[in-house]
Amino acid sequence: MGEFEQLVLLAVLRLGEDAYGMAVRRELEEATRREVSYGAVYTTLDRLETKGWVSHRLGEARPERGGRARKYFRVTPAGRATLRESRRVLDIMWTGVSI
Amino acid sequence: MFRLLLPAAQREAALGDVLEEYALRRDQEGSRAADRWRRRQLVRSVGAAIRLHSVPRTLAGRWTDRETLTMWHQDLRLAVRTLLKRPGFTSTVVATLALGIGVTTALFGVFRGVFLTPLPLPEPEELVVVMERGSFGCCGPASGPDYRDWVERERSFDAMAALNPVNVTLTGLERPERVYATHVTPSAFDVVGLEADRGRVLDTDDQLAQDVVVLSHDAWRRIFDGRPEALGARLEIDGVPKTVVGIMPEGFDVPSPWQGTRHHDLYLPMSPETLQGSRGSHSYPVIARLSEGVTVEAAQADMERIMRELAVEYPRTNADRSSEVFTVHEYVYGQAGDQLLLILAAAALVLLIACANVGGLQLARAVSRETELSVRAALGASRGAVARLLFSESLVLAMVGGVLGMGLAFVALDGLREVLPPSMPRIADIAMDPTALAFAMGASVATAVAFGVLPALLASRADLAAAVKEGARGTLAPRKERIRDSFIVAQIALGLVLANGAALLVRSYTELRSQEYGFDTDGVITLSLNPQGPRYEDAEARLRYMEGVIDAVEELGGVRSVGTVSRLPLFGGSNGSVQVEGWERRSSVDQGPLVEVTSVVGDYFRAMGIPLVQGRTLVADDSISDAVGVVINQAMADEVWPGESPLGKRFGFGTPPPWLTVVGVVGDVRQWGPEEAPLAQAYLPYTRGWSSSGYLTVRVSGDPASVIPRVRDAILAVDPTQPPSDLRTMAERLEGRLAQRRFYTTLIALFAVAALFLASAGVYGTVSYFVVRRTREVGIRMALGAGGRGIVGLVVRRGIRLAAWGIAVGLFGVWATTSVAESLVYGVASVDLLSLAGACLALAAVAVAASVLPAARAVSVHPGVALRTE
Repeated sequence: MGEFEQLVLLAVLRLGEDAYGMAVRRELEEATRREVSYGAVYTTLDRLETKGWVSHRLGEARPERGGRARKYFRVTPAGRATLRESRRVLDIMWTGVSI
Repeated sequence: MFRLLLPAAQREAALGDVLEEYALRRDQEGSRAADRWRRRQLVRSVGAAIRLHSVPRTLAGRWTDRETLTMWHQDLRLAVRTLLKRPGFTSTVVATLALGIGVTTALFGVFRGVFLTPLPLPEPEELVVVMERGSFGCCGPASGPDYRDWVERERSFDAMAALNPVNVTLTGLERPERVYATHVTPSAFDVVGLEADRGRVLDTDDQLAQDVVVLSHDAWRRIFDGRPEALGARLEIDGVPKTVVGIMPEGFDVPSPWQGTRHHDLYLPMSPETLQGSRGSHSYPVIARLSEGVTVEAAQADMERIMRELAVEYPRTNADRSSEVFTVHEYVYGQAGDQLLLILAAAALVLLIACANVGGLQLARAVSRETELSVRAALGASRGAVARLLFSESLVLAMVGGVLGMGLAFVALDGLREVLPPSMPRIADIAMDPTALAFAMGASVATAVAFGVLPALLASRADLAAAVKEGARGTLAPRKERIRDSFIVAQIALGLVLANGAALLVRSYTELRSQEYGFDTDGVITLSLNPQGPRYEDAEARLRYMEGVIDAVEELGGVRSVGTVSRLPLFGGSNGSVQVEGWERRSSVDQGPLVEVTSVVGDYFRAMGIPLVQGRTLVADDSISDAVGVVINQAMADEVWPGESPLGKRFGFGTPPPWLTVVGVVGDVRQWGPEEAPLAQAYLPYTRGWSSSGYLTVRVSGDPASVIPRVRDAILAVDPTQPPSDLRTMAERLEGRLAQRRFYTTLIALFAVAALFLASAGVYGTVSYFVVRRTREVGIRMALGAGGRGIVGLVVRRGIRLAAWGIAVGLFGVWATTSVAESLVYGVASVDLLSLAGACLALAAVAVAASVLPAARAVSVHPGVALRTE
């Protein structure tokens, strides 16, 4: 799992019920303090969905979005398992390291 | 744009997010910051998109084999790495592609918006303008009686309508406002084919009653803030109250041949008497809608039949008149279309040069890699693998170039919208055109890929030993050499054609600028005076008003001379045939010379800086004395009384005419436009003139702009109900008349510079590359005793031969395009020898320099070193 994929998964988890594109993007921007593009966010979400690590539901269509619905993402159990695994490996590797 | 950069499944949600956040940011940080943010997002999304799309989806879908994917992935990464290692080559190709794609696409956007998009009216292709052709040429409006006969006799149209566009003043409002209106026969609404949005359109009863008005959608929103009560409201037009009976739908307009970018605000019924005037006075443009199945040509033939009948029935007025039918689109936008087409052709040339350039560079590079590729093949790489590698490189180049080109097109369109001359019709319709973008990208990408991959495929089949030897020798198989040479020739030739066109336009424009117009624009303020309302119904009252204004303005400090004129120079006028005293009519249809009729009050000639050649200018008495005085221009003096003094001679309009006595001769001015030669012109006293409105011209010492507000106040002090309008300096008006031409000229010149730059870069790149490749050959020759000079001469002769071929083909191209050039340039020959010779020399010099410099370097290298170079 790539670093950005991991960040996106975590952002979706942190946002809980409100994890739609704009919120995810802003969450990432705040955490990384770098500008994050919608292209990157959605390319990654698309990939995560293909891998079965996130799923989505559609909200209501809204006029300020040109009549488009918000797409809310959720981390699937498989996604959680992968995240846990990657954290476990990282924790092991970090043990005893000081930089 | 975002659309393309997003994964298909996420597109809608992502676009929604962008819109939502954009709105949020606009509210919090303002729309500029939000725009900037959106642009940044767009740019940053490109990277993500490339990562996503760089793995061809169809392949990924069909070949589930992970290895294939990895291979492509590796190829792409290798391609990027290889390209980055040759920054010169890579950036040249990418920049060339971007320039070609961007420029062509942006201009096609302009062309399509202005010219190809149909009028927003039902069946616009059936709408035609019917104009009269007379001894003056084409095209003028029709006379009322002619129009009535047309309506009665025609067999080609569903409906036909006469117009009479006028500027009127809305006087009932808090502040009087000048608007553009047109009197129409009620049939105009049938011609256009749209019903009123609210209320009704005009009908024949309105023509008699003359008490109603129909508003355009825009005028309704502007004057009545879009309130529904507007229907039935009173509107005072030039002091006469009218009832609003209808509001037309958005986008509706009665097309008029004069309108250009203006839209009519009001539609007034044309009274039947108007159309019963004299058959000799032509004032009404006519529009019509073709019946189903009738072509413009058929309608033209039908109108010619009618005009022949009328010529027999009314020989005195109609003997030499015929009629012309144009589609509205052609008539109104035709000229802009011609010029834009020229620009588009220039853009296409730039694209072609870009393609030839990229083709040449790719070919050169592929040839230089033959050894590498043959070795790869020998080591076991399949042909497919080699092709894939080269394809990947070309693809990366093309994609980066394409994306940059798109960006360039967006920026260029924004820029163009700002600098386009306001007289250009329908600027608002200019937008990015996806078809053009697809075409330009397709053409350049195909070139890049074709010339990147094809030679490689040939190479991969080639015999290894031969290839290694050939590569080492640094020379080419004759066939490939010819292909490469033809690229060089094509670039030189295309560059020349464009350079010639651009030079012509630039010369033509400077010619126009340095033109003697016959007047002096420095320090002249002009404004429109149009006394309206019951108080100004008779000419005497209007004259008194104008004299009052002249007196009031003369009082102001800094004002040197003041006068009025019915039509400003460069802005057209009206003309009529004169009877000259003592002239015998040659035949019953001989109408005498055609003379421009202009009326003046006050010290117009001095205000406009028109020199007095003989006699005197008009004085107040000239209009009332028995012998009405008139001033004529030099052209009329030369035409009517060649070789004798015109002073004291008499002429007049009509039969029998009230005689006018020539009291003075003034210099010629270009009345009809910067490109139109002066015509015979007569300046009459106001009350003898044909126009009720006029332009005040004020010559001031010092900065005219600072005097404008005081002039306005002085005029309002004479009569507060008559607002002056259209206040501008004469210099501004002249600039305005030249703006469109200046725009096209600048654009073409930019193209020519881009084209010559591209062509030079291409020629230099390709030629010098091959010369460098021959360093080894040079080394051998030197080692065998050849002199340095002889070798340089050998290489240079090649360069010169190529340049000569390019120039020959280019000159043929110039010759082939002269007829196009002739129709578009003013005052210069269609081939500009000086600039053509300059461009030839420049390109030849580039080709020679591209041979000499590397050859000289090769000669200076020690033969031992040269032999070791690959």
